[in-house]
Amino acid sequence: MTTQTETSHAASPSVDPDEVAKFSKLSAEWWDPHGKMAPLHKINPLRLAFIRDAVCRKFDRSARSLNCLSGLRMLDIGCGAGLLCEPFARLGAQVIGVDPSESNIAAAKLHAERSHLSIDYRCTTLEQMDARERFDIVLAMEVVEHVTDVGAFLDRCAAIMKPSGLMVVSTLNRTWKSFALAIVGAEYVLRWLPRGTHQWEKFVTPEELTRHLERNKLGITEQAGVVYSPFADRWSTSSDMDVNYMVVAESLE
Amino acid sequence: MNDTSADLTLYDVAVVGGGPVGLATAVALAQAEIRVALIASRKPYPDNRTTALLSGSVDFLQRIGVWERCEDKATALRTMRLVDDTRRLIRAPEVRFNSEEIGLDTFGYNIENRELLIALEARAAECPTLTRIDDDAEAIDVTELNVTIRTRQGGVVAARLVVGADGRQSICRDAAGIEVKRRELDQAAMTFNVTHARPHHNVSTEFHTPNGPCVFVPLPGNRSSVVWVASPAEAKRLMALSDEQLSDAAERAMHSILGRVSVGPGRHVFPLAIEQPRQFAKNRIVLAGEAAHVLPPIGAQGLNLGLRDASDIADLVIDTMTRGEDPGNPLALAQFDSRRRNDIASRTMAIDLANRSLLSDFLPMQAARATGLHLLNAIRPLRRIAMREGLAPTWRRLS
Repeated sequence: MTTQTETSHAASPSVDPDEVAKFSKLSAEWWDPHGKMAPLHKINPLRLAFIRDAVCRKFDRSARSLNCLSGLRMLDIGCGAGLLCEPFARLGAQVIGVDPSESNIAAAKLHAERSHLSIDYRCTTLEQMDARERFDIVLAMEVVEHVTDVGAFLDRCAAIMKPSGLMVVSTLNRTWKSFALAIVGAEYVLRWLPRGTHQWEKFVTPEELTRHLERNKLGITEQAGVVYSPFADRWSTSSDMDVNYMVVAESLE
Repeated sequence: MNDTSADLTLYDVAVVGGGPVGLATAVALAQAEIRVALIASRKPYPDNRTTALLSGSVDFLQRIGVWERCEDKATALRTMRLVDDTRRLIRAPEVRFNSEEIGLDTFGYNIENRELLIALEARAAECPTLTRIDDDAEAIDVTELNVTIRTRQGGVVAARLVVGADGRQSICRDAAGIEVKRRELDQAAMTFNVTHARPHHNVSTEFHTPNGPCVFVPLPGNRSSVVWVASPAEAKRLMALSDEQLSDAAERAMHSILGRVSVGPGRHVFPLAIEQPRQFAKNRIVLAGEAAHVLPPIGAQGLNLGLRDASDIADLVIDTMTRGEDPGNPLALAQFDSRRRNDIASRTMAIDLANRSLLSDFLPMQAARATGLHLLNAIRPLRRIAMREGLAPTWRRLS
């Protein structure tokens, strides 16, 4: 592989065979659509299409083109093993994936290498990144509900985005319904997620998100709820933003 | 890198099989700029079978730029006539379906498969992202991230998704580990083309005989194609007849409705069977055409179903790839499987039932069939439903 990714703190996957085996196993877990990450795989096509359509509208591209993101610099914050990074790299974007977990980054690198994709994975956090870097697209998918200070985090996201750029944020709303579905349902009843994955108090309402974005002169231009239909075993977008939702933010000027 | 496939060209999709379904799939994908390898040695269509392309198939061929190349070789089908010639105690009345009744100009168009293939080949040659590999697939190896195909002449092709349009003895289906349910029917279909003294007026006529259906479908001019289903012994006898004797036999079978008949060169016989694979997609391989379904030639469903495979597969691959996803990923494969399952299973069941009721000597079955056709004849809304269902399944139009 190229050395463009070697600035990160993560271990190179070719160092220690035991480490490689460990990361390989982790990578396989992340990428197994029927494994632990099954809910994420199910929801992924929906997220990919939502982001792609928003980007194509903003940058005047055709969403039917196989190269619709070419030349666009995209940052995926909390990229995990690259479930979003890889598809967007295939669509031509120059993708930078950051994640604080060294093992996630190693797993992501391993998978991208085997998929013959060039993605710049870095084991770092948004705060540690070079403040002069700029991106056309900033993704914070299912991240804000895990950060300690949502306002400060979104300020950083806004600062790292080009003025002509686009931000997509997805998270869980703080409603009684999200408590019932995301905590009780997903963690306790259906066991989709390990217990303790989410803390309901940290969920973010669209109003809070709007306030933080407005402070940075960004407005929400698109929004969609993400709902699950148990009978069809399908996720779809909806106007119901009570549980899981996504928003597109861009400069109001 | 220690991945040996790195120095190979990795295609998005490899289509195995150069029949109408394989070619149509490859063209539909290449039209969306997907990099497709079509693996099939070029050869002319081996027999003189024809296909009644129903309106959905014509729409699809139009979308992929093929219809304009073969439209002039096709004959419109405006009336379908079913005649009960079972000579049984309880006989069904003659039923005529007119395309105008459901607000259509035609039910479809009859075309020689050979002409359709020429048009598809010409269109395929125009597609810049379609690579034609003029060789046959010999061995297929599925790995986690792609599929490699070795050809007879030693070539190797890798792709993320394989479309197995390689017929009844599909090696793609074997490589995917998909089992097939097979039921041999004690029937054979004989095909040939005829010229006749009187014009057909765009009417296709299906005589239901105790052996199975005998169908005359219009071709350009005073010509028709014939599919004659009979017992294997009877088919063998017909195959052995001289042209003159077969002409007489065909004229008798159609009760001389088109006057004097004379058979053209070339006749073929096919043993009939119903085959259904247990899955339609698995392990980066999706099945299309006769690899996915083998049906008796009743109601013009076979190749029309195959073209729906092609159209559905292309739509799903395009949806998956325009999201940047790997077209052979397990969730996409599960989607292919469920999408094709309803359509193929319902068609297979309907045709199987129709065929069984024709063959049955069991009185209630004959009565039910006769009643069914009586009702179809008498009740206009029911006729329209039957006609529409024949052209495209309800769930497809609703979605």
